[in-house]
Amino acid sequence: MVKSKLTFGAAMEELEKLTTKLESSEVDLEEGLKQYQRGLELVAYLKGRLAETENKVQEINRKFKDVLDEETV
Amino acid sequence: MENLSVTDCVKSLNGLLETQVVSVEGEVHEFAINQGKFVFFKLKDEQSSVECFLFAWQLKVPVEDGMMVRVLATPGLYQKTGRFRLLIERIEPIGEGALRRALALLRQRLSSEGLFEVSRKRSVPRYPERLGLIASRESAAYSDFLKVLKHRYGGLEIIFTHVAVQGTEASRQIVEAFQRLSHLQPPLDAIVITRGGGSLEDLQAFNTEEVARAIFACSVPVVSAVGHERDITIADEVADVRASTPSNAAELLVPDRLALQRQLTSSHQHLQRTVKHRLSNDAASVQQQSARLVNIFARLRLRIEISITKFGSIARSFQEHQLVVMNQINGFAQDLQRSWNERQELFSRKLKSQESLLEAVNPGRVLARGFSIVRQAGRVVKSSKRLTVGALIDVTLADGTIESKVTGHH
Repeated sequence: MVKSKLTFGAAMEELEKLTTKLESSEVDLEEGLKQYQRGLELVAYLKGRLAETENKVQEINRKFKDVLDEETV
Repeated sequence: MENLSVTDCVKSLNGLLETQVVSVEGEVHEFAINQGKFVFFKLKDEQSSVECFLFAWQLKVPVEDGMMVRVLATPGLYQKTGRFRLLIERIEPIGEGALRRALALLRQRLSSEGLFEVSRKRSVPRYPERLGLIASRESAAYSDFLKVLKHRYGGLEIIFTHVAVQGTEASRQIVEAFQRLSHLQPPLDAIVITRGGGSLEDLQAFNTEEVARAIFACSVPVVSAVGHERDITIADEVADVRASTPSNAAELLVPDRLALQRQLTSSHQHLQRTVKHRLSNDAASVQQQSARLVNIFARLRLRIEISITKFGSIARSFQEHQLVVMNQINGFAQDLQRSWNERQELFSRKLKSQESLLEAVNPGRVLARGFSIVRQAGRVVKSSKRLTVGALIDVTLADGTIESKVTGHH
């Protein structure tokens, strides 16, 4: 499973690296299949992230730590 | 009427004057900064002139002679001389010309200090997660930015700080907002500062030295989208990324989800193709390897068969050879035996004849017939002439030996 704390950028980077590695045929078949599985998970995770249509806006005060307002736009 | 000392007179008048805060517009003359701390100039119009004083740290914008300014000041008398002057609290250029001139001066100074250096500009992460936003809650810039952002990308966390984007408080509030957002933990990926277009005066807060320095000191990359495309503020120039409009800031900050979706689909297909290709390559390789193995096995079998055949024929010929050799050996042995027997027979015949010959010449037999052997000093004496009278001789007879002495020759 793809960990939820993985950022979009990190997942994208991992996917790119993994694809390059798979192409280079440096990995053996078994490892390759594992990587492929991981690649599919990453694609699913990234697609899921892209399906998010909302951004969360949190308003904070310039001087104090309290959150003034929170809304989803 | 009460008589006052000069000091009290000045103090008393100052007390009256200090209650009168005035806002005055005029042209700057004889502008001077003493010891880097005290600023003196005269404010003039066609008919009048008034002396002004302020501290250098209060000077937020560059001021020079001939510049039209608006001052917020308290009138008063200088205690020592009683000279009248305006104690300036705030000074700002007014009118397009003055503003442009002040801006040019500030820009020149900040540029020489390296605040606009291209080499120090940081890039914004390709896929940001947390963004800071400094804008006015009511502005079109704020809603435009969020709208375009949402249209392009989702799942972002936006930490927003409301500030006044024009007026006297704007500059200070923007500085505070930067200080606040710059120190958030976990750190933001970038901070966006935005407001819509306006006159040079409207955009004044984004052209101040303190905002420029706040952006310069900010610990995360700053994206500035202030005014319209043609208005370039100092904030824009100091920022790491300059966007032409609030919408453009959103475009520069986040990738477009549709493009990303397409990219991901293509990545997915590519991944599948790669693995498929890899698998079919591997299958072909297995096929090839197994064909090679079969081939090698067939060759090996052939070689073994050949070897067995060869060995059989060698064994056979060896057996034959062995037989021949055995026969030969047997032949030799028989020959040897035969010749040996022959030789032995011959030899025993020869021996017998020698024996009888020997017997015939046996001196013993001669002695038995009455002969004797004479020896002198062990040597057989064959002639009497060799013996002298008196010589001692041994005479051997058939049954023994006697010692004699020669007494004479006959």
